Amino acid sequence: MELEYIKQILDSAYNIRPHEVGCDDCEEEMNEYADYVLEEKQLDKPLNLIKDHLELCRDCSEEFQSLLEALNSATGKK
Amino acid sequence: MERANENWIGSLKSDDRLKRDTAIADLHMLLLRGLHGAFKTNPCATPTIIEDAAQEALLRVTANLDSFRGESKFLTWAMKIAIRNVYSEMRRTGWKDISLDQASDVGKPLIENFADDSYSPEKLSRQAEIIEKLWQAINESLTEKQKTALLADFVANMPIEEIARKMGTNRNAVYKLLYDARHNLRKHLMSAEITFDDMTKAFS
Ligand SMILES: [Zn+2]
Repeated sequence: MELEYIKQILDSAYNIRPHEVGCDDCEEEMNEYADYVLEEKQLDKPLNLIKDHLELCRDCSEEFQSLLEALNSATGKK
Repeated sequence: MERANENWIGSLKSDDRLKRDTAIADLHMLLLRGLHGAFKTNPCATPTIIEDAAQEALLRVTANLDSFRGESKFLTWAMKIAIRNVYSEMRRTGWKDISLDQASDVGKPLIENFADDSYSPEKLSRQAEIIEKLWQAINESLTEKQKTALLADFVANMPIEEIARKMGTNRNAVYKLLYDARHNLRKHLMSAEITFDDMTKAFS
């Protein structure tokens, strides 16, 4: 169990990227990225940095997952 | 029937009261349905939290229609705001009795006195060595603030939104603080000649 924490700290340190966006940018673009994921819609701009942020940030990632679930529920897809 | 973005905006801005109220009621219903679906297995998302989150989102959306730039579906934008409200409230209530110091203190003994006997002795000693270096890096290359945030985040699993609230700053600033912390740790570990490969081998 303790090992998990240590691994995560080490992973996040070694996998640091020269340029990472923060939570504000992620929040700003999250709706566009959600449409892209749900509908395989074309993107006008690359959202790779948002994808990276979602892998690195627990807060944003749980919000994003819930957003996808909420949209599926609201539109009756699930 | 799904409304197009223009329909949402047009109806919500309409002078025709019936048209506007119908759109508000539709949006409210969709937000509630979405939130109930997304949080149905999460006991922390109480009915009050969900209803308040939907209501607040509705107010914010209708007051800020001009800030919607049309880059996504309108409902996706509105739902994002509602989801954020739910998390913000769940995090606040869930962590209200735990201070930042308490959260970061949890991490110290875990890292300092680490031992896991499910590994071979050679692996264990290699792990112990890396962990010692990591602990050294945490103490020597991080500021007090970086250290507190790192331990609260990784070990106590405190949401960074909560770390931010308790530090009196915003989430973006905490992400940046943690980014700098990760950068410093990496630099310190690399200079202690621990590579990513060493780390992976020792902990696989
Ligand atoms: Zn984030």
